[in-house]
Order: sequence, then C-alpha cells, then structure tokens
Amino acid sequence: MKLDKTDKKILAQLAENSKIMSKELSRKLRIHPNTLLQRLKKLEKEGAIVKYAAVLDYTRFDKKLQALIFLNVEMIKGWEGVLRPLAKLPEVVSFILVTGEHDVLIIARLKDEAHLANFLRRLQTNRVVTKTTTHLILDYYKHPHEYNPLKDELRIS
Amino acid sequence: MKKKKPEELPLELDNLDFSILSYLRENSKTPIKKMAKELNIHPNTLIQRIKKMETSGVIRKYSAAVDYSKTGYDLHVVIMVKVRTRGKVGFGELKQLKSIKELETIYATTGLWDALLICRVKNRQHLLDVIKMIGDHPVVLKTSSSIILQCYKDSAEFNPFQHD
Repeated sequence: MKLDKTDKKILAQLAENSKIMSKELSRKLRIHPNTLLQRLKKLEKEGAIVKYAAVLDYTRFDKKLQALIFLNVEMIKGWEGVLRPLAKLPEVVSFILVTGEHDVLIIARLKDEAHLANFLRRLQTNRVVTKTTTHLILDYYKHPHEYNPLKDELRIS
Repeated sequence: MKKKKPEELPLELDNLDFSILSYLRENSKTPIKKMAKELNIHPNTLIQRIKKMETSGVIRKYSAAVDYSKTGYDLHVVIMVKVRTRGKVGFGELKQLKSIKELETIYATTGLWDALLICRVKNRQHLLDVIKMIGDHPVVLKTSSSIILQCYKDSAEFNPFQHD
C-alpha cells in the first residue's frame, strides 16, 4: 500500500481526533471533500485505519494495577495454538512475541495484587508456558494514545 | 481550599455506562440513534451519559486506530532501559524521552530494568538512530532491545468492559 503526503495528513489528524467533521477536515487539509471521502474509503479498506474508537482513562476504573509479564515458552509442535488464547484474557492490554531472553511480553491491567496472583496462575497453568517474570509498572510517561508519528513527520499543528 | 478539578471528583459508573464505553471502544462512529437502539435505551439518555463521561475525562478523546505498519513503520521494538539514579536525578527524568516521536510507550517499572519503552521505526538504520538518541540521554545507563516478532493483541484492541 502506497501512502502519499495527503493520506498521512489525514491519518495524523484522525489519530488526534476522529470526531472532526469531514467538512472541517477537508478545509484544514485544503483538499476537496470528495477527495477526502475517497481517500478515507481507501484507508479504511486497506486497513490503515483499523477502527474509530474512544480512548479511555483506565486509571478511573478499578483497574489501577499495571504489570509487565514476560513469558518463556516451550516451542513444541503446535505451541502457537496453545498460547494464543491467553491473548484473549480481558486483563491483557497487549500481548506480543519478542526476541531475546523471553519469548512473550504481556502488558496487563488488574484490580489489585490478588487479581494479579490469579491472572499469573492462569498464565502459569498454560501448557507451553515454562516461566513467568513479572514487573510492576510504577509510572508512565507516554501512553500509546499520545503516539502520533505522522503528525510530527508532517509538522501539523 | 483548592477547588478540585472535575476529573478528580469520584465518578460513579453503572453497568449501562460500561456497556456504552465498551461499544465506543469498538466503534465510535455509529450514529447515536442506531447505537441507542442497539443498547436498548433512549437516545437522550445515551447522549447524556456520553456527555457525562466526556466532561469527567473518563473518555479522553476519540481517535482513529492507525495500523502504522501500513505507513512505513515496519519495525516494532521493545527497549528496556537502566536508569542512572544519583542525587536529584531519578526516574522522573525519563519524562524527557517523551520528545522522541518514535516512542509509543514509556513505562517506569520495578525489576532489573527501570523502564520499558516501545517504539516503531522504519528500518534498521532508523532503529539505530533511535537507540543512539535514547542512549545519549544523561539518565540512561544502558539499553537492551528486542524485536517484536508478532502481535497477538494490541493496546488498541483492549476493551475490558466487553467481559464485565
């Protein structure tokens, strides 16, 4: 998929605010409303825009504890099928396969220590998980929702 | 006495609020009328509830979830950081890394490493540039990177209220 400057500008704006009216957006980016519509359709169809979603402040709910959990996985035949359901647990914010000392990095949001213990037990009882290493997140300085590389690339104010 | 900012006030959310949040996490573009019908509530109630959660800051913003791998950012990398803490220099200084636009996440953590960063870069050269940028920072003692091979779940997919 080839994206030009206009596509990137559209993505950068919509990542900041997806509730912006298309009329306003086309004026802001100085493109014709029809062009914008056509571009949007393309970006949605090709999967560059995955969805339009509300970004929530999870610190406001009873899910205040955040943890990083590394897993070591025994890569026996069919391990992916055994491992993958773990990503579906509601506590999981992200579940990624990484290179290095550990095989999986999980970021999870939990209620409290008891909830964490319970969650860890569920991970540890998985057949291919051989080890878990847990770190607590003390503070955060940047959240994924603040990330917008295209905006900086294009210097849109 | 200092007046409390609205976002600091405790907010009581009920199951209907959670259903609305869950819905908006998946799709915030559905017209109010259609959404109200699907949730089986009056449109006015829905508007009122959404407004309450917007003004109180539970809903931070509405955003298009972008698949950055489709915009030329091919490499997704986890970088663990060991911080140099001496005197007044501490974890808080990590905040300065925020200006590195390639960084998606900065978390201060317990354990062998002090911080976890996640970044997206275009290619290996770009990764090297970012690692140098991080390493040049006075609070950073050392870094260790691992490439993300596959993502089973992305933070954009996180929707805890779906299951509540």
